[in-house]
Amino acid sequence: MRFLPLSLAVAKRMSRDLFTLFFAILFPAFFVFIFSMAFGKSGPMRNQRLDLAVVNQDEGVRVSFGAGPDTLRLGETLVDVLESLSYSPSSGWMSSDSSSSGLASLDSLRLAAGKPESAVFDVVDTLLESEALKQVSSGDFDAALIIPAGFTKAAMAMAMEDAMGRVFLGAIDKFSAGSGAKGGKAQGVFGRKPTTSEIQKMIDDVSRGLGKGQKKSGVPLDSLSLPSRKADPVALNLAGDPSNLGFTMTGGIIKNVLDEFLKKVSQRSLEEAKEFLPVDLGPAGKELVSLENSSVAVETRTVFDYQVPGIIVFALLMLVSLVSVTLMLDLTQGHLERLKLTRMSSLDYFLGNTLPWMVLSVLQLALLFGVAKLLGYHNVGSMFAGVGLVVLGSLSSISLALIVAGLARNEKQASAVSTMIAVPLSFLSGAFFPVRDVVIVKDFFGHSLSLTDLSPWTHTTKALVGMLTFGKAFSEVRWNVFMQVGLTALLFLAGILLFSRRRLTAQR
Amino acid sequence: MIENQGKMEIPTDNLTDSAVAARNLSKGYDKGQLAVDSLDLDIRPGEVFGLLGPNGAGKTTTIRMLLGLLRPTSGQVFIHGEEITTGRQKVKTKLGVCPQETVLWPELTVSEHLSLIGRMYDVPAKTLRADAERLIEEFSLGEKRNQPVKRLSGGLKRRLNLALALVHGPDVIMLDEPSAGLDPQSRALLWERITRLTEDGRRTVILTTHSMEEADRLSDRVGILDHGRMLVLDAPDTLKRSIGEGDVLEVDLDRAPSPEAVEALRRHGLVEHDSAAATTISVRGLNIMERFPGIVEALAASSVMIRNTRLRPNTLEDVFLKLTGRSLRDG
Repeated sequence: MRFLPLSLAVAKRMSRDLFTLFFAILFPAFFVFIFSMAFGKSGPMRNQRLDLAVVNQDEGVRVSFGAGPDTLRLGETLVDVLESLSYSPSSGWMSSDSSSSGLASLDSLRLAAGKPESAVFDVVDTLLESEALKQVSSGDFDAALIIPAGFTKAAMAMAMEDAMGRVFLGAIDKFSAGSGAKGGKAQGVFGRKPTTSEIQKMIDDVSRGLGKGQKKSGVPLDSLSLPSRKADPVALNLAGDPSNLGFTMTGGIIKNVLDEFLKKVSQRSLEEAKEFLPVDLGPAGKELVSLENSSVAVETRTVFDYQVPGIIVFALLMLVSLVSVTLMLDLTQGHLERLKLTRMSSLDYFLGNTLPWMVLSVLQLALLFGVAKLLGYHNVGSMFAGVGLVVLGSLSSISLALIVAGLARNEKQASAVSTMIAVPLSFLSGAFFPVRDVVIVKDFFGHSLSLTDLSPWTHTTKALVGMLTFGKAFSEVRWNVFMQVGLTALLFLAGILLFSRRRLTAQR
Repeated sequence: MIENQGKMEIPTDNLTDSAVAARNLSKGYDKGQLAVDSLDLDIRPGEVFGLLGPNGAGKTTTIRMLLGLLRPTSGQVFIHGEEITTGRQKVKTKLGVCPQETVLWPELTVSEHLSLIGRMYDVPAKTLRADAERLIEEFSLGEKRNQPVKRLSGGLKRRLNLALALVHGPDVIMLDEPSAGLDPQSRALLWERITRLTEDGRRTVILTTHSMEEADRLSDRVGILDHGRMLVLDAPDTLKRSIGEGDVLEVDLDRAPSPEAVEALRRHGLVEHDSAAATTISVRGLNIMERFPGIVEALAASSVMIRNTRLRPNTLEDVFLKLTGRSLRDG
């Protein structure tokens, strides 16, 4: 337990060193203040909307629900969502309409008619892509969003595949006697685990609307025509000037909106699939259903609201410089050598130094969050939701600081190297604007892995934005948390090994 | 010379009799230069051992290897018979170190320093409180116990620096130039404290210093190191009697000595007589007092009366300069 007196000593030193305290705690809060002046409610962007040209080329898909065929156009719905994006607490832009069901009810994704005063975007529908791009070039619009022809088809195929897959996973459990039914009470249709071809046939039958029996609502299944589960991938194109902050902010917002939109579509499809084959869903299904509880309920949203979690991550990355310089001062001023002569172990030293910095980062979060709230930050999630992420993020930064302090020759080098690493990392983590990324692994435990995903701070940013700004539940950001934990563990291990080998053993 | 640990048998005889022992200890650097060359050392329990040498002689390298902070190229170090690399944790509690620079945390108070270092050595809380209080009193730090170190004077910082080396009650205390920068009062306090440290015959003090007076006064034995090798190792008095140009006996006479008398004195040592008319004559030689009766006899034989005598004994500094030369060193 030698780390406790060491932690206490480090904490006392920190608390009595006003210069360090200023940079560690007050500087990020000051940074928040500057950002709020620039992008917050009281800043020059007050009531200023982002100008978005939309070219909707979506052709939709034909579906029928017993009352005649209809064309489902998700492109239009998406445009409506963007137009009405305002986060009104009464409606919420992604509010679900529990009274309606069926794929047709996707229309309920649209918001109440009329553009609210606090709308984020000024959306203008444009017919020609060339015209939209010209307007962006001339600076009339911040960005142009081109929705491709196959948008609905691809989105629905994705949703159907997802929904069918999950429902049938549940069904396989239910219909396979003793292979998943709770307490072994389920009466299996197959009496055994079905073969792959039987599962495929079951999926095809239902998705073609040829299953036996009737839908609960009374619509005969043979009258249904559901969208195909197969479609070519499509990409929405957001065009704009990367040097224009409005464009980068638009990119960030639309990415989040699109993610939520597609999830909602999947959720509706899942509900539909359950109507045909009522089974208990597996854990993946529950994750989607839990979206029902997440509502975005902020009165007004500004660019500043999207940047506050990013500033938290920026502050965490600034710890790299502070911690590495502190460790180097320990080395160059002989403190580390004095401690090495005692019975202190490497672990004592790491824990002794890590704990106070973690506490400081939580204090930093509290102050930063408080200042941000005073300056008009609209958070949906609680600050307490971010505490764990911030502690993890601070551990990532301390780990990087250990690596820097293990390699640097003096505190000047440590400071310079830390800044050179931390500042680009904060930008690459998406702290201030979304980053166009390079996918390096298409399927990594069901997720695509980009270059920036190799940085734990990218996941800290994503999880913080999700939980604080969008009010997502932990289950919705658990992939980011998992990645953050894994990458931090790797970084911490590397930091400990390097620092121990170079600084804590007898000099060679 | 032992090339590497484990390749050759290293003698481990009498190791338990020594507080600190080094066997064939060498440290080489990249360019093949040896900072310490095949050093054998036995420092006895209860003695104050002065390690002397000009800058760059290898003192710091030796001390760092004795402390386990620097890995030797070859050879081994034993603290009370315990090999320092294999029994590092066990050995650590036996060692107390007062570094040359005052290594203190500016924001922590005197009490907090003693408490932190004591706890890092696993001193039980109750013992630590009592020991810290005793050290604060002994080093006259009582009035400043709650002051942050950054507000202390240089002398007080050095006293605290030394107190930190003692807080866990070590058997072997290494003091690296402990009196550098101290005023005479503080130096007197320090010397008195160092002398008392070894009174019980249990503790051992290893002292490195550039003050020959300090080494002479405090050390039971001194070792003079140069170019990584131990040139001599003995009690200061023995060294002063045997190395150097010797003591100087100045004799005031009632009249200038005759050339015969001067010639007779030359049999006893080196004679300095400024001019034939000078009434003062100097005789220099090792252990000159043993020859004093012969000198008096030679002068009496030429009817010269001795009015006064002054003895300037051979100093450790004379021994040091004789062994290491007068040329300036880099380090």
